[in-house]
Amino acid sequence: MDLSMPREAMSSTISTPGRAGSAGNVVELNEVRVVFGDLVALDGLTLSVAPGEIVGLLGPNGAGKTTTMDVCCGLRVPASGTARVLDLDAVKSPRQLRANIGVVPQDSGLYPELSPYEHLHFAAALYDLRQPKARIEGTLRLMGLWDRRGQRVSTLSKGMRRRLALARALLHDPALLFLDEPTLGVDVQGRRALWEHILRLREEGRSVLLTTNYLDEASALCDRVAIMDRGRTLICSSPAELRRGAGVALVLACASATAQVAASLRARADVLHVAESSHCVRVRPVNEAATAQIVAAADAIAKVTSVRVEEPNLEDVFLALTGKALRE
Amino acid sequence: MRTTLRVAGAAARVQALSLLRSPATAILVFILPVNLLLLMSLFALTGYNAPTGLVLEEDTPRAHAFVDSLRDAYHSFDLRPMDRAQADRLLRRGRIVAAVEIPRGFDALVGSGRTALVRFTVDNVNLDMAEDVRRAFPAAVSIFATRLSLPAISVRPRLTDMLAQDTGYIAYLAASSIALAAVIAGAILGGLVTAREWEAGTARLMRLAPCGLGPVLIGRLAAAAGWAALASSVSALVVVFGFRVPAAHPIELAGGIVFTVVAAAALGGLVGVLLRRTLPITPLILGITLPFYLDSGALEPQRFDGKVLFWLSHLSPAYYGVGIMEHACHGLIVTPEPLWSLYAVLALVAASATLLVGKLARR
Repeated sequence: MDLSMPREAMSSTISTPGRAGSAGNVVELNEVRVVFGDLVALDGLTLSVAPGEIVGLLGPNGAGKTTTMDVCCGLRVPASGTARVLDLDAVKSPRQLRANIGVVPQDSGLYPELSPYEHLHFAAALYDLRQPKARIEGTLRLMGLWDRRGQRVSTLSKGMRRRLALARALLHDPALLFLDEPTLGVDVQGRRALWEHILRLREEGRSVLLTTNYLDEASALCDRVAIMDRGRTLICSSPAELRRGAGVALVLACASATAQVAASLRARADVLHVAESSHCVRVRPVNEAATAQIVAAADAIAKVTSVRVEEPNLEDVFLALTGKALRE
Repeated sequence: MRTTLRVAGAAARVQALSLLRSPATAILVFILPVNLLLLMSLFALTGYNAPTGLVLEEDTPRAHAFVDSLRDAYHSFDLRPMDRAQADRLLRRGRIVAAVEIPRGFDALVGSGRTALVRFTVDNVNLDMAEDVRRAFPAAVSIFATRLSLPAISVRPRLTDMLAQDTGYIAYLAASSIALAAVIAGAILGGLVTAREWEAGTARLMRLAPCGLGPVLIGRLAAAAGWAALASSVSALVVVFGFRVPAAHPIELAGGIVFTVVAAAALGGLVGVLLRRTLPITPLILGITLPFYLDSGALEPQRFDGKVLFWLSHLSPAYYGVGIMEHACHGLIVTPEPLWSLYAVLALVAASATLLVGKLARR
């Protein structure tokens, strides 16, 4: 179902500043610092999201992803720095801002004893939507939940619950969406379905800021990825550019002694990272020029039966930037 | 304001649906006050008339006058006519507490001024009950002698009652139990519905709505108060029809339930917002409410436990609820404060606690 028709039906009740005709970014964080006691959650964070763009925040737990979202939503007041969202000051105009953003929290925030329809009906009251029935039906149909509209949430799958959370976030037609780990705990099929919905948001001209721990998700969905660690953005670029910057990875298939090969390569100065599996050693050289020497060194220890050059993934990028694995 | 009311209304509707679909919570709130009512009535077991077997060996005016005296001995005996063998059997089984036997020739002996031996057997396994019966028996004899103007009785007490009617211990306690039910049901539900917003992770989401979390919590508290008022009404019905305590002022009874429940729900809501967890709500509310209730004139209007406890009891809505209920059921004024002030304090508590809930919800 086309969402644009019901959107027009309720647009009279909601103004969308910064949405149409705005040349500026929908999110503009500048040197934002947030402190909880002794803990610095955000340490001079600078980030922007352009209209119609999907930006992913990628980082380990405690990197400051959720705090960044809280600042954007006006839930957290920065100790210093500025946060402008949809041309509004997130600190000074939180009420007006919240009418124009949609949020999917990490834990969905659903009532198990209510049905999807009742959730959206309640959300319509929260956002002061008049005569919301058509809008609710359109949104539920869009998310593939219309047939389940009367079922209690406790009986829905995790993927359906996440879709319902997304439906609730979309109900009031927000210009900007914040998705906190949108596919956390969802099975592969459910993730693909959610990805399709998120990509459709961009086609509709909405902007999305999402957090994720899944590298493939960030690659599949995001125009740009901001890699965060310890409350700072280490880099913010497109997934392709990030991969290019991280160089290639070699996958060496060895007939035997992969552990010895891996140990030997780890000791080399021209190797950034080594990972081993049963018959393969995956190596990230410091640069492409070192490739030949690395293969030769491995071959001297155990017969290398094949060499494959792999594009680096975002884990490699993260590792290159922070020196540690993403899930540490 | 209009938007706030609409959001609160929607939240109340959603909360009512949640309560209807969560039978465990709903049943707990309905059963708990009635259970407490029954528990409180245990305090008054010894205040009941003692079941006493009455063995009447002759059917004469003086024998009947003696039976009347026993009945009038400060409502101590629940007399059950039976023969001697049956009385002995029931005493042995513990089905009656005492047996009194008016012998053949009683009328003639009393009439001629001679001593009549009335056999009186007490099952003293329950000391409290036995002592009540032992105290009541001489009283009955005195009443009998006074009524018949027998020469041996020289004391004639002149009793003056302060009130037009006596109020039984059970009847008094049962009325105050309605206030307890209202406080318990209101506070527990109020606490649960607010704390749940944090536990379910929905509080953060509601704060992201333009209206904020405050109107949502107020709506939920309104639904909780409605539900608790229903539960308290069940307790009131048990008191009126089960314990046979007629309500002197039925509208006041209904108003008292509503005011007490709303104040308690708002206070419970405040506890829920502060704790943000549902698990400790029920034990905490019970733990706080019961001592305050007992110190709130729940057992008798006059307290002998000191001024500090008396003033402490003013901190609980139970104090004001008990005051209202005793007047609603028995027409008694049991607080030094006027009746209207009890309603006013409950309204003030409800408004202040609700405002605080709204304020804390923004944090």
